[in-house]
This record gives sequence, structure tokens and C-alpha cells, in this order.
Amino acid sequence: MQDMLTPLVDRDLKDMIQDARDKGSALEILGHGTKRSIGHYNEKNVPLSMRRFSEITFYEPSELVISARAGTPIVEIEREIKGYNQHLPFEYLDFSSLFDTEPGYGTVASLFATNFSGSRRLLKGSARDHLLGIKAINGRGENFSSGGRVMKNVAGLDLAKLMANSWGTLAVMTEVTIKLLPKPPTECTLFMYGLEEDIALEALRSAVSTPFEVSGAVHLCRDHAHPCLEGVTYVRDKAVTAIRLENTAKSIAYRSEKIKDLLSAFGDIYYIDEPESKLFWQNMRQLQFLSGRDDAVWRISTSPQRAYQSARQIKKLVDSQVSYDWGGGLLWISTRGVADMGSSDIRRIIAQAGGHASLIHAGSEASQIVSPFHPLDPTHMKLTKALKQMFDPDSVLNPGRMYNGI
Amino acid sequence: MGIFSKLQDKIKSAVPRSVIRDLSELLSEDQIVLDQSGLKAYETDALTAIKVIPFVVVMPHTTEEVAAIAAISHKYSIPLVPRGAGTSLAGGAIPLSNAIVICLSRMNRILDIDLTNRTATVQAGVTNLAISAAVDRDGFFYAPDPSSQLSCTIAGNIAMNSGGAHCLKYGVTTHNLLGVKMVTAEGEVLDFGGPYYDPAGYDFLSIITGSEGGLGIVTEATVMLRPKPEGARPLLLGFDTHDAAGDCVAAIIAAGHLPVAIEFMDKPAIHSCEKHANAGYPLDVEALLIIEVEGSEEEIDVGIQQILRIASQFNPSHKRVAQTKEEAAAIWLGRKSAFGALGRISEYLCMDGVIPLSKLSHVLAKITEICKSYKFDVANIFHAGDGNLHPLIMYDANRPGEFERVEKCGAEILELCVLAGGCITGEHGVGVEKRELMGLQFDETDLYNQMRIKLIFDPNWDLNPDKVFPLEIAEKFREEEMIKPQGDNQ
Ligand SMILES: Cc1cc2nc3c(=O)[nH]c(=O)nc-3n(C[C@H](O)[C@H](O)[C@H](O)COP(=O)(O)OP(=O)(O)OC[C@H]3O[C@@H](n4cnc5c(N)ncnc54)[C@H](O)[C@@H]3O)c2cc1C
Repeated sequence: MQDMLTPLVDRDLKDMIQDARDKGSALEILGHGTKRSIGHYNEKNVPLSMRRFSEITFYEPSELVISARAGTPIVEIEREIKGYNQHLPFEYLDFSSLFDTEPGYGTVASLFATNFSGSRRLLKGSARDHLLGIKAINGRGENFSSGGRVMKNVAGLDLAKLMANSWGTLAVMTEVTIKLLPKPPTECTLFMYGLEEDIALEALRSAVSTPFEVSGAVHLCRDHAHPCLEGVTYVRDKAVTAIRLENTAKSIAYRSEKIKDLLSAFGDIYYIDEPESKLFWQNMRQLQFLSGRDDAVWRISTSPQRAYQSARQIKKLVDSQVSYDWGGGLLWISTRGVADMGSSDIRRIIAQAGGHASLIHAGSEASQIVSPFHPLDPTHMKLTKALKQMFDPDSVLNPGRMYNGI
Repeated sequence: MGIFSKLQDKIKSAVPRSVIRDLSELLSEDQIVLDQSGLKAYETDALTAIKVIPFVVVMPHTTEEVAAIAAISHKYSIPLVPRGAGTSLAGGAIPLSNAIVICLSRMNRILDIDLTNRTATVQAGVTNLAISAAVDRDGFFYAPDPSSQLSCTIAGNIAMNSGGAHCLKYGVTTHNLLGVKMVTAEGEVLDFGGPYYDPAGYDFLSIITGSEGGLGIVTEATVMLRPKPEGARPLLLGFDTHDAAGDCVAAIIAAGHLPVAIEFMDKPAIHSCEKHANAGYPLDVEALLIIEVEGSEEEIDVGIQQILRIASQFNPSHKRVAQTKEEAAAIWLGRKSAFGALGRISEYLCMDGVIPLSKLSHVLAKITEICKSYKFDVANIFHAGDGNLHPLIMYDANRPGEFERVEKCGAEILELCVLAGGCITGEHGVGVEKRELMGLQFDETDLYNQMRIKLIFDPNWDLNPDKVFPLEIAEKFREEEMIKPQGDNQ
């Protein structure tokens, strides 16, 4: 393991980039490293952590906006905004239980560089959607900025949102500005147990098509449900279909009744009150349903329309367990004992359905044989390479993390 | 203007007649506009002060035709200017004299509505409102709602990243777009995203949205549909000062309420809208807020009570909650026809700055001062919840030199917005109008990083080439970084 570079100010970072360019070496761009095991690891890249870029630089609660240097711990931001009853609405994923690392770590810029949004994405949008502005340094060592601290800004190309899901391969963000939302006053969840998958998806579809602002719509298979239900209900050994409502107490009382009426034909519906509801969704956000197992884990974005059929096809070919988030638009699949972790079958089926599959956790199998990110078709690869070339012509920023050379 | 227009003139003299021959081999007669009177209809958009007759206008019906047209423009390296309904307020669709204008308004078919995915896939020339209309009976709508929604196209919305009054809650175009089919400058057809969230790899959709026709010609789009709320009701709050209205908005948001829309009008705006729409706006207030609350009847009642309670701290001199659907519609009609209403009084330049809400009264006072110094009247309309300010500066278009003066006045206002911590455009885009003001917000390196992306998609710089980027910087950039096309010695 090489020594970690830890720049403190822009100047340091630029020098380090220049140094790498001069030497023909490359850098591994990190925050706290909580997602280090996602994507290709290239031991030749010199690790560089942004963790000393840590400071909240601006917060205006009445405008729902906060700015922080890239390496600011997420928990610090959450602590600050909690005092004003605000939150990061995209419910970012916490991988600590999946990777068996210490919880509570993670830096703010990585939320956007990786763009992993949780269940509330369905209603409130992704991490990317809440990124208002950035300051960054690209692989040429140039400082640039995009966006700003106001909610709307359409001047020029939106390089801020372009950083979403770029995994530090285009530029190193040095500061981010984020749109916040008021925390909903309270929440509840409706549970249905033991539904067949297709029935469950139909129930979710009905619920998210109502005007009642469903902010979570998941179906966990029996295997996955168990660890998420711990402390939530006494039922543990059944698949669970969960629908979350967040609003004022009066409003969720009214809305949950409406949804119960609508879904009564699907089966019995159980009302889960705020404390247990919170615990359940926290478990979801922490991916408890996938943790503590030796399986490979896939995260698949696809159209709800095609989700069930795709999952069925996959299950026929690969020993796997499937759960759904985003009302059917997100599949979490754990596979076991397959040489390529199911990659070729899963990706072929998802490519046909439309969407993409990322390998989040390689289990005990070696991840090197499978591309962690969904392979791009040749035209997209060409554009991807061209973009990389424009921002980072000498390939010093995280080369190979996403794709070969990217 | 110097360098670029000279460059363009040089190319113009070289527009070969064979361009027309190639186009007519591809398209039928009624898809090509060549005669002067026909071309005149395309000489401008909603920035009517600038007019340029294009070389030719073409109206494709299919993506294949768009690709073939792009290939022709590429072959001869002549500018290609995409156009939807021509409602851009920034001059985004204003032609160049040697350009092919490619107008997508005939590509107006809704291709697929999928209520399970809650998505619609439409051709680029479908109007914004047509999408909502197509799914209205199923209880859905397409959220971004520019006031021009009856006529503007989805492709224009994507190009400008358009917003609207209800974007406070639902986001602007970039938050509601899932996929596009796009033709590059060289005529290649590309697909980005699809009916699912968060595309694989780099987020190309984020730069295509807002690219003002400079990266490609969008021919199809897949957008998110949302369930319609059970109901919605606006209320009106009138205040004696701008301060009080601004503080009231800040207090509502700080208290954790995010109504679906918070709109602000100053006195001149109120008066002209009222005259136009008879919405029942109070005429004796300095500032008016329209706040809309959504939900069931009971939820709306509760929401409105909460807002009224907060507002009472700021002593509103007028309070009225819409009691009927008709009243609600009249309130919104007044607001949504504001631009039209003011247009009846005078020619105006519509600015589109964004400011932090906390700077509202300071900025409004300054705007009045600036306009006074130019002897222009001004009316202000403001998407208050997200800080997007539309000062409409009224001027006499028939007086020589007035447009230059009003442009200068507008530039001062936008500089003020940037200094206050905001930006030069919140939803209308840069176009030709604010091109030279980009320097207020970006330094040269920022712009280079943007222009490099344009080069990937448009290596010869043919697509809407005179928009968005300051001409001299763009020229310098091209000289330094553009790979000269083979055999091109211009
Ligand atoms: C009365 C009035 C009210 C308005 N209200 C609002 C408002 O509330 N909110 C708001 O955001 N805007 C508003 N606008 C501005 C305008 O309506 C929007 O910018 C709209 O999105 C433009 O759509 P369009 O179809 O008219 O596009 P056009 O004006 O034809 O073109 C706009 C831009 O899009 C590009 N373009 C068009 N088609 C394509 C394509 N197929 N591929 C690539 N690029 C393309 C053009 O080159 C140009 O740069 C208003 C305008 C008017 C006149």
C-alpha cells in the first residue's frame, strides 16, 4: 500500500496532479474511502484523499442551500442541517454494513461522484438532482466552477451535474453546493406480507400512481426482508412490500387510509408507525437486507415495466435473490456460487430490457473478471473516452476505476 | 460582433447552391422554405429585436431526415440552427444568414405513454402542454410548466432547461428528463438514457439539457410523468413593501413549508396583469404573492392556514384565498399571461436573473434605480421560491439606439444579480442575448471546459455556432484547440 496524499488546499492538489503528470503516474481520488471496493481497483494509482478539504463554507437555511468543501464528513453536514429541520432528501446509501466497515464515514463530494440515491429518489430525485454547483480541478490542473448557490441556473453547460457518477475520473471536486429540503414532519409505512412478486409490483405501481406522494416503494424477498424487519415487526420470515408516506400527521393519516382502500384487494395491510417506520427505512438505506452474506450484489436500474420479467429470466438462469426499490425501477440482486456472479446473463437480460447493472459487491469471488459498471456500447464508449480526454488528457485521475482507461 | 460575423460572411459567400440540391433530393418541396417571405417567418424568435433571414429552413419529419440534414450541413460546414416553436426569449433560435434552420415543429407525435413506468416518449416538436394533455385523463402530468407551454416544444425546453412557476416543488426540465434521441453535427444518431433512472456511465443528459442546440439536434425525448395532485388552490397576499413580501417567503420556507409555487409581482406587473386578466388582484399594494398549495381539500385548508399564520407576522394588507376553480384559474391566468399583458403596453426586454432570496429588496431597489437612470419603466415578476427574477424593462423599439440602451440596462441588472450571489439566467438560457455576459459568471477556463465538450459533439463548430459562448473567447478557443477539418483553409 502506498502512502496516502492528503492535500489541504487547491495549490497542493494542483501540485500533486502536476507531479503525477510529470512522472507519468496516476492518482486514486478518495474521500474517506468508504466506496473504495466498488469499481476497479488499480494498485498502481497513488491514493489521494480529499478528507482535509473539510469545512462547511456556507449555509442559508431559509434558502435551503449549503456549501461545503469536498472532504467534509457527511455526518457533519447532517448535524448542521438537522438543527434547522432540513435534510439531504435523496437518502444516500450507506455501504458500511455491506462492506463491514465502520459506519458514520463518507465525505460530501463522494455522494455526488458516485450518485447512489436511496428509496426516496422515487419522489424527490437523485443526489445529482440536488447538486447546485461545484468547484473542481481537472486532470490538466485547471480550476473551474459551474453552477452556484441559487436554485436555478442555466448559464452554459451544467458541468456540476456532469460530475455525478463520474467517480473522480474527470475532475476532483473541491467544493460542492447542495439543495436541501425541509424534513417532513412525520412518516408512516404500510406493510404487506408474503405477496407474490408480480402482485407486489402491481401494488407498488398502484400506490406510486396516486397523488399521495409515496416516498418509498419497495418489495423485499423473504431472504432479504429478514434483517430489515429486525425491531420493526414480529413477522420476519415473509417477503415484505412497503410503502412510505411522509407529511404532517393529519395528512399521512388521511393518505394511508386512501392507499389502504386502494390496495385492500391485494391482501392485509399493516400500519407501521413513525419509530418503526424510520428504523425500517434506515435499514434499507444501510442495505441491511444485503449484509452479512457472502453473496455478490447487483444494483440494477431498469424500467418498472420490464423489471418483473427481467428478474424472472435472471432467476431461471442464476441462483439469485431479488428485491425491488423505486416502485420496481431498481433491482437489488444477490447471487451465489456462479462463476461470473451471473454477470453475462444479468447484463444480457437487462440490456434487452433497457437499463444497466452495476456489481456493487463481488462476494468472495474475484471482481477482476467482471466489469463492475455496465459495459457501454461502442458509441457511448467513444464519447466517454472523448470526455475523459478533454478533462484529463494524461489520465491522472482515477484511470481504470470505471472502465478500461476511464 | 466583429470577428465572428466576418468569419460567417466569408463562409456565406461560399454557401454552394449544391446545398439546396442535396436538401431537395432528401426532402419534399413542402419541407423546404427558400422564398424570402417564407424565410421571414424564421428571422427571429421571442427576442424580436434581432432579426436575421436564414439561408434556408427545413422541416424534417423523421430522425433519419434530421440525420441526413445534419450530414449535409457537416459536408459543407455551414451552420445548422435547431428550432422548435421559436419562443426563446434569449435569441437561442435566431438564425445566421448562412444557416440551415432545422425546424422540428412537424415532428409532433407522441410515441409512447407508459403509465407503469410513468413515462412518455415523444417526438421533439411536441409541445409542453400536449404531453400533460395526453395523460390528463389518466391522472398524470408533465411537471415543468413554462408560461409558454401552449406553444413551446419539448426540444426547446430541453435545450433551454426550461422551468416554470411550479418548478419549486417539481424541479425544472433536467430533473424530469430521462432520455433523448439526438443527432450529432455529423449526422450520427445517439440514444441517451431511457425509461429508467440514472443512466449508466457519464451523465450526458445533464449536459445535453441546457445545451441550447449546441451539442446536437434532439429528435425524441422520454420524460417523467407525475400523478396529478388531488387538488390545488392559490392564495393571494398583498404587502405594502417588497421587504415584507420577501421576508414572508423566507419565513415560509424556513418554517419547513415548500408550497408548489410562490410567485411575486411588483406594482407595475400587478396593474398590467389585472388589466389583462381581471384576476381580482389588489391594485393598492406594492408587492403581491401568489402561493399555491396542493393536496386534498382538507390538506389544502391546513396548508393555507399555516401559511396565513406565518404571513400575519409581516402584516399583509390583502389576503384572499381562491374559493372556486374559476377564481383559481383567473389568478393563474393573470400570472401566466404577464409577459403578454406587458407586451401590449410596450416592447420590453425580459431579464431572467437569479438572486438569493435574502437579497430581494436590495436588488429590487437597485433595479428601479438602474432603470431610472436609463429612463426606462420596469415591472418585476419573480419566481420567489427559487429566486428567479424577471424584470421586464419597457422601451420604445421604434426609437433608434433604444435597443442597445436597453441591452446595457439589462446587463447592469444581471451584473447586480451575479454580485448578489446569483446568476445571469435561471430558465431562459443564454442564446445571443446574454452571450457576452457569460464573463460575469465564468472565467475563461470555466468556458474552455464547457467548449471542449461542444467540440466532442460538434467538431467543426457548426451547431448553433454563435450562441452561449462570448464570440471572442470562442474564436480564441477554436484557434487554440479545434482540430482544423482536413482540406479546410478558412
Ligand atoms: C410569453 C413567453 C413566456 C415564457 N415563459 C417561460 C417560462 O415560464 N419559463 C421558461 O423557462 N421559459 C419561458 N419562455 C421561454 C421559452 O418559451 C422557452 O425557452 C422554451 O423552452 C423555448 O421552446 P421553443 O420550442 O420555442 O424553442 P425555440 O425558441 O425554437 O428554441 C430555443 C432553443 O432550443 C434550441 N432547439 C430547439 N429545438 C431543438 C432541437 N430539436 N434540438 C436541439 N436544440 C433545439 C434552439 O436552437 C434554441 O437554442 C417564455 C417565452 C415566452 C415568449
